[in-house]
Formats: sequence, structure tokens, C-alpha cells
Amino acid sequence: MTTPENKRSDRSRDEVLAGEYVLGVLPLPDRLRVEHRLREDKAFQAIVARWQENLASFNNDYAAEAPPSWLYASVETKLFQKPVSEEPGGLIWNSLTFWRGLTLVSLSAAILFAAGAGGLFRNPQPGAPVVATLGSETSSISLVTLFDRQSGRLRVTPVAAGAEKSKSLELWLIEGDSAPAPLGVFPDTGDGSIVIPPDMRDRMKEGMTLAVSLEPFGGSPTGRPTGPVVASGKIGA
Amino acid sequence: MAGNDDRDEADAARLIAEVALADRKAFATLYRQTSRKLFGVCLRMLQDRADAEEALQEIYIKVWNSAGAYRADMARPMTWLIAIARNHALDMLRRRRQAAVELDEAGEIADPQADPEEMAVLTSEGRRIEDCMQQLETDRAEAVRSAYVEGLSYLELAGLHGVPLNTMRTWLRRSLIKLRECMDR
Repeated sequence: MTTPENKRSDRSRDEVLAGEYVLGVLPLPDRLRVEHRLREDKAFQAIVARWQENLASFNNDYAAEAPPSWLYASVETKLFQKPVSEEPGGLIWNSLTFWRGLTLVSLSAAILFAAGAGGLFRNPQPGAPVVATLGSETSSISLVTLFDRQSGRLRVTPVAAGAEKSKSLELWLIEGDSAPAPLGVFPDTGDGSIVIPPDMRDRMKEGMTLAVSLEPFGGSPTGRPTGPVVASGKIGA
Repeated sequence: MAGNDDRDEADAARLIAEVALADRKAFATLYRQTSRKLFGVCLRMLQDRADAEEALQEIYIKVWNSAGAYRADMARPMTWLIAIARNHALDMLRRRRQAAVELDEAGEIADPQADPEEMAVLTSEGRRIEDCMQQLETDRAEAVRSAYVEGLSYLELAGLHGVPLNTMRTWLRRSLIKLRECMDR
């Protein structure tokens, strides 16, 4: 039987239990029991919420620190398969992360060009294309540029930044809600383009999403993106 | 400035409401405004950058999925978000050292001897926690604070303060009762 006496002592026991839960000192099985109860018990929810507000000034002890820039794209990918476009109807590469990275890359490129193109590219064999790598310390990608003096053509290929041969960039095609299909790995030499597998070519059409993820060297070992998405966008008309 | 805080809070509460309606732009804005703080929580509690990065992703996935459960009358937005972050980090911490340790640690249910009459008042605004913390003995107050901020378990706190596990349990439970009484006064 529930007497007023019992009720009061249950109440004080709940106060302490809720306080212990909010402090975080409970072992895992007890935590899980409390969380289970929180789903059902409105009165207990209120006791926990009150402790959370009461102890909230301890939150001032947490110093804010910026998470790495790739992290949000990764959250979006996990939630929605593909990151949201900031620009409507955008082309490939319209992810914020990518453009932020690219702005830094472009800036360093501009500085390098200003310093004189002669110093930018490695001294070429006659007739051979010359190479430069443009990047920044904060970006997970670099742009490898190949300059062919004879044709005047400059080719730009994104590659994974950082230690040589430690990471690769892999291109994916995402169709609606289905799992990303691998299209290929960007060569780390900057020498070229990705040849789309024949069976995928018909699927490269307007409205599909292309995404690039950072993968272990040589590409994802699982056939699915395993690393953060560094860029994505819809295929335009 | 209080005015700014109020505006920020109204702003964050509105964003959470929009996230509950699956508004991805609002979610991006909420992330931009709050991720630095939540990342700070993860770093402090997990003491490992890679774990903190993994945790922060899971936390925002939880925020997206549970935004509909946010009740503005129960918690301020930042309090709610930090609670999600802390709970996630605590789960990770407790899982990390489950097994042997937790067997020792699994305690009997709290049974405080305080006069329950004192604690039955739920309506009072309560005094600021910092004032009430000053009424605890220094080592008790430190234990309460580091339990909360760093996510230390009873066992870790006992080791840190050089007291038996049961003593630490008693310390914290009595401290909680004192804090509750103080804030209700």
C-alpha cells in the first residue's frame, strides 16, 4: 500500500537517483534503467530536468572549441545520405566544406602565381607536363595541377591531402535514397580523370548526386564510403 | 548581456522546433551556433580527439532525431543540447570500462536519511548552485563538480580522493541532498 510516508521517501529517493543520473556517476546498467524509466514517468522527467537546470552553471567549465570542418558533412551524410546544397540546382562541388577548402586553396594558388609561375612548377623535361600541388593545411584535399606548355592546357585534379599515399579521394554516385555506388578513385598523381565504369554511365544523369569522400589509400575497402564526405553536389542539366 | 542571451535562447529554441519539422537548413544553423560548445563537452569528457569527433557526429544525429521531444518549458535549449552531449559521452565512458569495474560499482539503490519533507517542494525557483556548492565541504564540492564536468564514475572519484567506494557514494548522495535542500530554501 502506498502511504503518504512512503510517497515522500520515494520522492527523496528519486531526487537522489535523478541527481546521480545527471551528475553521471551511475554505472551503465543503472543509467540504462533510469533512461528506460524516463520514457514513461513524467514526474521523474521533471525531477531530472530540474537537476539539469540546477547544475547547468557547471556547463561554463566546458571551453568551446571548433570541431573539424569535415564533421558536419559527415553528420549530414549519415542522416540524409547526401549533404544539403547551399545553392539551388548547383553543379558538382557545391558543398560548403568543399568551397571553404577551395577558397584557401585558391588563395594559396593566387599567392603562388603572384610569386611567379616560373617558381611554381617543377622544372620540366622538354615537352613533359609540369606539376604543382595546391593546398592548405586545413583542407583535407589538395588540387594537383598539370600544365601542358604546348597546348596551354592546365588540368586540375583533387587528391587527398596529407601524407603521401595515406589517403585517396573516391567518387560516388547517389541515386535517391539508395546506397552510394562507387564510381572510381581519383589518381593521386593528378594525372587525369576517372573513367566511369560502363554499367554506371547511363546512371550519370540530371538530378543524381555526386559525392567525394576521403578514403584509405586506394579507395574504400568496403564498397561504401567509410570516410568523411569532402564534397558533393547534384548533376546539373 | 542578458538581453542577448535571451535572444540567443529564443533563437535556439526556434531552431530546434524547425529541426523537429525536418528543416535541414535550420539544422545546419543550429550546428553552426552550438557545435563549438558541444565539441568542448566531448573533448573534456572523453579526453580523446578522435572519440570526441565520433561522439559529436552521433550527438547531432540524436539532436535531429529527438528535436521533437524538446520541451521549452522544461529546459533551456543549451541545457538540453549539453545534456544530450553529456549523456552520449557518459555512455561511451561507461562502456569503455564496463565489465569488471562495473560489477564492483553497481550499488544498492540510494536510500538517503534526510527528512523527505524538506525535499518535497518542487516549485521553488531555487538558489544559484554556486552559492549552495560553497556550503559543501571543499573535497565534496570538488567531487560533485568533477563528476559532472569530467564524467568521472564513483570508482574513479573514490580513487582520486583516496576514499573507499562506499564513502564516495555516501559523500555524493549526501551532497546532492544538501544541494537540493539549499536550492529549495
